[in-house]
Amino acid sequence: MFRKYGLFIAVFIILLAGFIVTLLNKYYTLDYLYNSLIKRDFAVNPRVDVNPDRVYEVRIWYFPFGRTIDGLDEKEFFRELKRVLQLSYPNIRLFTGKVDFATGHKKLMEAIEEGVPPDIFFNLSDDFLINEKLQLPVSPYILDLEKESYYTVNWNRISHRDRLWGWPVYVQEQSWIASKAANTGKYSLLAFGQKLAHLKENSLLLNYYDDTLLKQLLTLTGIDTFKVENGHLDIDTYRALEEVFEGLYSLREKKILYKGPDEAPDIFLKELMEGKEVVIGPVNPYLKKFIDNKLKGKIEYLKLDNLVQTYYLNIFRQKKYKGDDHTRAVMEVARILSQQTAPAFAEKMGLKRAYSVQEEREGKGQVEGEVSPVREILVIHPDYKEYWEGVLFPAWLEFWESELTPEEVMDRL
Amino acid sequence: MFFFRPESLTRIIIFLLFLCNFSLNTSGLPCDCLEDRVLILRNPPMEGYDVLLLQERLQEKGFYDGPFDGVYDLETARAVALFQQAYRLEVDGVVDVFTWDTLGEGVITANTGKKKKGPQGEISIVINTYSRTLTIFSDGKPFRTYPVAIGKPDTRSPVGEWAVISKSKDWGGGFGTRWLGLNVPWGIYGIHGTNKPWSIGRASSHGCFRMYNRDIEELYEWVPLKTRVKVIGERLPVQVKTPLRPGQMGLSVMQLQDNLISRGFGYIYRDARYGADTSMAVQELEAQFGLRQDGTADWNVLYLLDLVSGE
Repeated sequence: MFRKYGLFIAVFIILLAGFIVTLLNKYYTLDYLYNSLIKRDFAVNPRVDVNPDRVYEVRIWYFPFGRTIDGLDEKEFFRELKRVLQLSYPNIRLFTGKVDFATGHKKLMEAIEEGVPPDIFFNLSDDFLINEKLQLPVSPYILDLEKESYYTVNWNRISHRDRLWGWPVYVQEQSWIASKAANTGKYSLLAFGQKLAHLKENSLLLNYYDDTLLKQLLTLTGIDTFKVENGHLDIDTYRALEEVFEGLYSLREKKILYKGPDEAPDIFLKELMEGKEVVIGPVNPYLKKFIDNKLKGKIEYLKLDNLVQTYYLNIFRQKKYKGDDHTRAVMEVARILSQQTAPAFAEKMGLKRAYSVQEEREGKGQVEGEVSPVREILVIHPDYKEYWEGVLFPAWLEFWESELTPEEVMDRL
Repeated sequence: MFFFRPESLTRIIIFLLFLCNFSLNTSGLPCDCLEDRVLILRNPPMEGYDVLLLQERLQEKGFYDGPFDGVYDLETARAVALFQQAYRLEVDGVVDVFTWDTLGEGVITANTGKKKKGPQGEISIVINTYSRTLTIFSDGKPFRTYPVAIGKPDTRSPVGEWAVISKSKDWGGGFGTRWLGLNVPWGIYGIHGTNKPWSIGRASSHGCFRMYNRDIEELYEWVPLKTRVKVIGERLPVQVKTPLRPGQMGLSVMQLQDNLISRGFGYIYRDARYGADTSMAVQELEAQFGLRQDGTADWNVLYLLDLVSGE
């Protein structure tokens, strides 16, 4: 009998298995089943949808990004978000909370420790966040098709353990600022490093207290990731750092760097505002907007080749989990913020939208399939953060404050 | 009723002019809110807001019908002499504390001595220099409002957020019956009574806040040391000329605090003191702009807050 119906039974079993997998896939992802059933880890089922009969309360924490920008009202920003959100999800209520730039990250960490972080952290700072304790990866919620519309985003940068940890919102093209008197425009066709070599004596004032400077210079050397293995820099990172320090040392030797290295970070804006022949950097979005407003027409931008900085939304859950449908609601808020409302405010903030539709890309010379011409600035992953903050950054400051040689500073790493 | 022969009046005026050779010291505290100066006839004549107040009060009392020009001239001195004679004061044309006190009689409503029930909650004071009123708050709710005299345009009252740091009684003269000292770092300022009650409601002081003696006596009983006093009003902007550091005090620090607050940095008292709160607010600004976070208002901070102008 088995011989007679064997083939039939096998086909039936295969069809049944296919049916079960299809049915399961409709309601669960493989990743979710694996994590929850086999690994017995916390897992979110991204197949769960927003329940129209439930009222969701979504909390967003944000930095007061609008207070130093004329004509930018944070309340208006969130009013618009609420308005658009209501069109699709009238059952999602939005609550906003402000954190300041000096203590915002610390407050967030405390909230994570207490198990009550916000659902969304609107992270308009240079410090990208990966905290696996209560942070939720966005990867199951961003569709591949959507990813293509974030055409400047290098997803590998924010990938950690094969998951994506932020929802991109804005992009800033990286540039330093030069006074018109410095006349850097004539070197516009040169690579960034070559431009610097042409600057006049005492004209380069770098704010080395902003670690974005080190990230910028490291990214310009060509490395993709900052890595430390067993407490030691990996060979590529080591060589990149050597290159950075040697480049800066050469600028110091040629007296291009400002004569008082310990003074430069405290007076660079004064020198620029007084119209002196100077180049300053790095310049974050807030500083750039301030200088743009004050010195319109009197400054030039020194582009750091094709470098960009992306700003993200970080998504969290609470210790007392509110359910997969709540997580879906939070992700929908993030999607609307990133793709629909935030882009309208990008220009006011002096930033570019991270999400852009096909037509816009084509208008900018970007066509489908073309490799993105931009390069995203390094993100320091959580495994390496301790080394970055505890070893590298102090050595970096010492390089400036004590005028160490490249050999001396590399010995400290 | 008040009748002089011309020759006796001339004698008095000559006597007054003679007095001009004497220097008369003002008494009281080494304070921005000065005790009344003594007015005498001299050449060139004394001028000022106090003379104007004197002329107004003499006119109210029926002794003066000359111009309100703030000049202590012969006509004003004559009216003073007439007043002094009528009120049995020494007729010397010198307007000292006794003359001022007598001029104020009839305006000051005496304290009845009956104690009113004071505010029960946490007390704070707001002085509004626009409406020239002082309001005492209890747990953030207005409890009572009094009229006050504020500083003249050339001796403005200190706008900011202060605290009561001293209390004293019975100085008399221009300070009236009670004194509440404020911790203004660039001078000695306070809330006090007065012997010129008709000046209440005007911009007439050297910067202090004058109240009717009746009112300051009431307030005195209710206001403990360390009570917050917020003075609302217009302040002339100050250009900051050098970086500022924690520990500093003064108008430049006040301007720094003003500009930090107006841009939404920190929750600080505008007390002209560069303390921990101000330092924290500066650090917040430094963090936003990617600067060294040391809480010092260096040149970058001054430019970012529009405290200095470039080029």
